[in-house]
Amino acid sequence: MSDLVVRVYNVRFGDAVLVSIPDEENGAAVERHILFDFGNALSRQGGVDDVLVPVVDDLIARLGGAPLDLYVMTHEHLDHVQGLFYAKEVHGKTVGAKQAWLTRSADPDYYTTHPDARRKRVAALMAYRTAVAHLPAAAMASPFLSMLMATNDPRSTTKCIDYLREHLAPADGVHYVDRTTDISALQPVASARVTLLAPEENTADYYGRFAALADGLRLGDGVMDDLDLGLEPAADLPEPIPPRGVDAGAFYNLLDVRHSNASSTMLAIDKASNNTSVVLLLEWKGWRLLFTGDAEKPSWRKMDSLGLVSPVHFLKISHHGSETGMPPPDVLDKLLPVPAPGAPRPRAAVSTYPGNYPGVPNEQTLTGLRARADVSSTLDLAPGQGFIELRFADTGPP
Amino acid sequence: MRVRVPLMIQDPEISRLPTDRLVEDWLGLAEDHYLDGPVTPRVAVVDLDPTTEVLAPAAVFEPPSGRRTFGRYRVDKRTVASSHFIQVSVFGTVMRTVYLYEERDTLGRKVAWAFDGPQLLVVPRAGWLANAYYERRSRSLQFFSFRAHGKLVHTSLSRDIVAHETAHALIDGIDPDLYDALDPQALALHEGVADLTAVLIAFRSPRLRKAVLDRTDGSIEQSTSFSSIGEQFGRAIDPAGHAGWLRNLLDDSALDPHGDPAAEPEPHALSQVLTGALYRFLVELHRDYKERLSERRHETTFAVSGRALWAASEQFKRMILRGLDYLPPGEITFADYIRAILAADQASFEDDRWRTWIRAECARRGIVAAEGDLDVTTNAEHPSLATLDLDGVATSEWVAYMFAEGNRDLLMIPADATFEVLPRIVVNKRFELPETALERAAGAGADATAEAAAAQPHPLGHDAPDEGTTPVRELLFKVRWSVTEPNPPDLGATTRRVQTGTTLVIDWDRRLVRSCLGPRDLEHRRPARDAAFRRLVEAGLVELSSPDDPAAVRQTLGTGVEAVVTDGILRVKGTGRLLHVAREAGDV
Repeated sequence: MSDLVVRVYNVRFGDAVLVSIPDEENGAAVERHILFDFGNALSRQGGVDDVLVPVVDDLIARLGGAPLDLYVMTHEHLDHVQGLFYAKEVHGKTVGAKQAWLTRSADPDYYTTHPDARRKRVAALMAYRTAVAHLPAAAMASPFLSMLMATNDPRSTTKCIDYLREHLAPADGVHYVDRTTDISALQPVASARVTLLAPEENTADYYGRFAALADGLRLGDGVMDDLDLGLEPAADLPEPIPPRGVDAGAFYNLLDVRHSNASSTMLAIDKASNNTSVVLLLEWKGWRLLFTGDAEKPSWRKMDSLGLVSPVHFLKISHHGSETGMPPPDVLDKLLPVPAPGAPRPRAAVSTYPGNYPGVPNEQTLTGLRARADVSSTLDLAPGQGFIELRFADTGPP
Repeated sequence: MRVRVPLMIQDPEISRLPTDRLVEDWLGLAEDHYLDGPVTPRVAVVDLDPTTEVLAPAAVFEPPSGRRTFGRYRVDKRTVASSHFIQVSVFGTVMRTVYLYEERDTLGRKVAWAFDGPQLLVVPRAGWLANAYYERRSRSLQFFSFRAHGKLVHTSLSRDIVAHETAHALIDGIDPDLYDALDPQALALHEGVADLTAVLIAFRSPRLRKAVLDRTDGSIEQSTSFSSIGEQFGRAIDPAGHAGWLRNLLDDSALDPHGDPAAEPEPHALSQVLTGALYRFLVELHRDYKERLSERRHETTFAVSGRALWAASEQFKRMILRGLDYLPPGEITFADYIRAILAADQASFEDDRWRTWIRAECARRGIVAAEGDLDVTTNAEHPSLATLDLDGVATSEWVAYMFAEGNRDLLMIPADATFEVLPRIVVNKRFELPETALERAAGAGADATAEAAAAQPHPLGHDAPDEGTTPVRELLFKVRWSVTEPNPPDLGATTRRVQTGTTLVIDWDRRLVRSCLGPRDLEHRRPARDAAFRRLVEAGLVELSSPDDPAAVRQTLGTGVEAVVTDGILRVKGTGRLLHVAREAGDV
């Protein structure tokens, strides 16, 4: 029990990472447990919920009835928040936590104190609603679009996040965190040090593209929704026919581009939310382990601009192995410098599943990472093997 | 067939005109065919419901009948928020703007759209957004609606916004390279000319002209009704703002000609340097016409302010829009555009007074370091033109290519550059000599701005007679080539490809080089392009991709901007898609 152990569970397209850290309490050896996210996508094979059951069973077994020392909800996407709510609601299985750290913008009061972020977030939600409302059935059949919509559907994520907020940890153990949060009194493990590298306290910048829409809506204080456009696509719509005298090719091209723009809007919403991910550095016995949620390049650039990026021994690969979740090359050089021949290699792990999100996992990205670190993927797990396990000795890095 | 079309002449929420005077009939529409919509061969309204995308019932076209000699669309002008009125009004304003560009003393031809197709689609209720845009990919103008202070605001009802966006489509047809430019000044040029187009359309409203000039003692300098763009829109999105308008052209913004190009602001703000200079020119032009007409007619300057505005706006229109034809392809700057304006004017008119004023104003605003930087040569002889087969150059790709290849020096094409010759355009333009224009403005029986003038074809309008005008036939010959330049290595590729080129304008009848304008500041402006691309990337408005990436991965988050790296060389396209009428956070 002297090793720090990282377990990256196979949840298909989602994240569930348990870090078990040797610690001491009143002179006795104990093990602390931090769980980063728990969930998977709602749709397609990557979202099969059956895989969540063995995870929660394993968690319960390892915890032996005790609560987690810390649960970190990196950001508000279904594939990161669903699991514990699902386990309780569907299977009656519960896992508790002493502390729950949720990304800052999940604070119910956040948008009251951050009006600019609120305006843009609401604008993004309105864009989501508009995109959903007018996308015809044919576009809805796009698995990518369906996945984006499901992942970002506020109706689904709200229930899961409310559960994390209200039922996971004691009320005084729930904290909304960002890079600037003072966690000195909240450190979950005495033998380790936790540092928050992201997100920024003001998430408005992540939703910058929606500023004009936010301006346009001009919603009153305290009102999150103004235009009720519905969240379901309109059913039984007639097949669109070009007006008389309008070139048919141009007409259908117009509709295609509008749908493409709506899809792009969804993607922008998705990415903005990804960049609100908590990025947490855990240091123990000289080891440096970085847990990244789904942080994407804008978040990496921000961290780098603040001088927060330096070499790590373990990287939880961001955003399921996408190219956009990778730091830019110059930042990656700081995070995972190419090791000299014969030198100890850092380790990285990715929790991913193909076919849910185009370009994810990105093989070129993972190949590039393999030149810098030993990469483990949940895709390489043998049948029945429920997690990747990586051990970090208490003697520290070689 | 001539058709009467009602146009909204001022943003309804802010207008001081009585409600029943907000709509003005335009009698100048003269297309070949009309269908319900409105739909014509070149412009078609596609009124999609903003949430369901079901097509709304189209406004019905009624051909001339009985004693009614004009066709019309069946609308109730008292219900300006009705879908039919919106359809017809937005269509009318689009067409009016198109005609402005095509008049024989401006471009003298029908403008071909930049996209592959004859018809520009107009979506008057495109969705919920506080903005509007032209989009080449969808071949459309999209006008959105939004709610502000309990009221529903339709951008399609704003004459300014509709004229502005239509101008983007027209400029894209004339100078398509601007849509892909990285240089903020190239994008700002798009914005600036679009804003000035909106002002010119405003001047075309006799009722608005009279109402505003009556209120301002005959000055266009003081009234925001002319010099502000999108006033209702601006107040809606910023009611606490001091100005209440989207952009005010009365602006003293300036550049530092010796400063760091990378430090220039984003295109919307940058455009105000250009529009400020040119609007100031228009103010001076108007003042000059007032003084001369006052003397000629023995009336007060106020009494002649309307006809003076007509004359001044016509001269202004000709100068700024003809300049677009003379502009070189590729990455261009404000200075390139001003040189094009001056060249187009100098090639036709001897009087240098206003060109001198423009040069001085541009130097004062830092668009150039010295007035001499704007000197241009026009109507020059060149040995290659004396016996040139102009018909062959105009119609044969091979002849055109051989001419360019044999005249690299003239066209400033580098010896090692592979170039392409763009489709040539032969244009028959006409113009009035200034004295003729002054006489016409002075001699009109009634106030030249009277509403009756709206019923008459403009002397240089679509089907106007030739008398009193001077013809010029031009061959517009444009060549374009690529230049590779260093790209900041942390931005995806170490090398970047940009476009540049030369525009040669040949006087067909006199076989003279009316103008030959090519790249002047390309290398000097590289830091500006670096900074612009960096802003795009850092704002998340573009992501790097390769040609092999799936479309979904290459999606540029709906911005329309692509940054594709091929064999290690970056090429950025579609930056013009970011030109919304309102500035968005993160805009570059």
